[in-house]
Amino acid sequence: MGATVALLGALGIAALLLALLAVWDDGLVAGPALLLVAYTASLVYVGAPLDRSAPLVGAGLIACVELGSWSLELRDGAEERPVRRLGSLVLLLFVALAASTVVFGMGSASTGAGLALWLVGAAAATALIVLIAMPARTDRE
Amino acid sequence: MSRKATPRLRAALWLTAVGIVASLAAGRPEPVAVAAPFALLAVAGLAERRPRPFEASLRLERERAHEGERIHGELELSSASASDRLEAVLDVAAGVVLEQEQNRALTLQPGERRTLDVALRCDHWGAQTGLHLRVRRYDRLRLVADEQDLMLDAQLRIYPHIDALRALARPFETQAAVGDQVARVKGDGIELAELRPFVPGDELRRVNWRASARTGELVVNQHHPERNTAVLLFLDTFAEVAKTSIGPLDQSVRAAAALAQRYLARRDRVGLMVVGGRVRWLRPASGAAQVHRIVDTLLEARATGSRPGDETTFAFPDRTIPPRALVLALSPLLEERIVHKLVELRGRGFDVAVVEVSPLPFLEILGEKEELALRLLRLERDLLRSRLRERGIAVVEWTEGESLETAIRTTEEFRRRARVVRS
Repeated sequence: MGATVALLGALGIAALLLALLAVWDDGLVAGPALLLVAYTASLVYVGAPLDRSAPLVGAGLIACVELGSWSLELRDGAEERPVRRLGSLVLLLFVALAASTVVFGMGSASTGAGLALWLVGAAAATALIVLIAMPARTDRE
Repeated sequence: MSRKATPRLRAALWLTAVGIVASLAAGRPEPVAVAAPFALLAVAGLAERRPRPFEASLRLERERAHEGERIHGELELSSASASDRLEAVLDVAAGVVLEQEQNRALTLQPGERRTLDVALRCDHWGAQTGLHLRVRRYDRLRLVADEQDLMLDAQLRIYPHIDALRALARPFETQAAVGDQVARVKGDGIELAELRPFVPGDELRRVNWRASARTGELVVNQHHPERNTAVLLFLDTFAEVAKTSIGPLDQSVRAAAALAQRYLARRDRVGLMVVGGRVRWLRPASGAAQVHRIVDTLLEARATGSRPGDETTFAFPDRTIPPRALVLALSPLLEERIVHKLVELRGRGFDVAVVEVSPLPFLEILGEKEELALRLLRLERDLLRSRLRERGIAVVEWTEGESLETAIRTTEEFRRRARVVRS
């Protein structure tokens, strides 16, 4: 299990590096997703009760995606106001940290609605698959 | 305007889905907490409204330039919607190079007008009518990119560099108007033609007193009048063989411009016939404005593909060729229909000369027997030239790097010899 976690993490980092070095923008999608899977697998493997650093992991992944995308954008033209952009990024990280903390707090609280919450989650995941298909359809148009 | 999800939005959607699924599968809240900010981004990205279209205009300092010149202009961009990041790329056709120090993305406020300096280097002749501007706009969170292709109304005509010519292929027959060519007929002029006995009605000022004193009877001078000529420049745009902008068509256009300028400077009437996919022509006329009309028409000349064995005849406006005009063709002689047309014109009594713009330097013959193929091709072309010469058409091969002056002088030499034989 430990090797699987390490492999998933390595693949995620490799995808991120490939995205930056080979201008492969899908690497910015695959890399963080693999890192998230690796993080989940590590939680299951270790079996820790609750990882309180989860909001920081969320903010870290946001930072990966944002900085990676910014790096790719710079190839199409330098930023006119880079300081302003940097300020927006810092603000975004704080908002992400706050949102992640709130969700983590809500998720870790025991509500006693186990199956109902699971069903809500499954419905949300299904709805997301539909949402993911929407931009792809727009691309084709 | 088309819309694309940026890697940020795609990452946000995928990570949200992966987070929820992982959380459900593992029965732990951490993955969904990690994915929560991505879920917010995904919602924001999907709720982003389409922006208003962009407006752009390009003002160039002038619409006409010569090869090698630089043109400055201003590109003005505006939109009623805000853009956190705006990338604008000006698409210019071949022959023009956009000189930009560095790509720079802009930030545009709603209703704001931004002006960008544009510098264009005119490398090759041509008419640039369709300048496109590709604009990519990002929203505030840069989750979606809206792309728009704008057609700019600016036009740029780049004139070829015209070499000065001294030699010209002179038509056999002259026209009625006054010009610089000594006519073969006799009349009022400066060039002495012959002496003849005086007849009643001759002007006294024409009497050659020295000759009269020698012969003992009155003798008068006869002169050749100076007349202009009519020339039709026949440009063949069929079967361009070059893959770059430098090729037989490029050579032909430059030669046609140089010839037109030289003939018109001699007060001749010059017309133009551009024969390719469709025939474009200018009736012969004289004057400085005709040079501009001819060069403007030449700028529109485009290479036309030709299919081997294509027997479709093109609508050739024969009636636009004035009687006694010289038809001077600039052609690589690759298209059989062009060869037939030239032979037909000669058969109908027109004075025809051909400057064969050699396609051989531009041909790429692949394979092991390249040398043999080239020899065969050369033999075929020699045969074609002989066929044309037999019919009284002067054909001179003009290869790349050789001066047009030399080719024209050789043509004239051939025509002079042919005239001697004919007379």
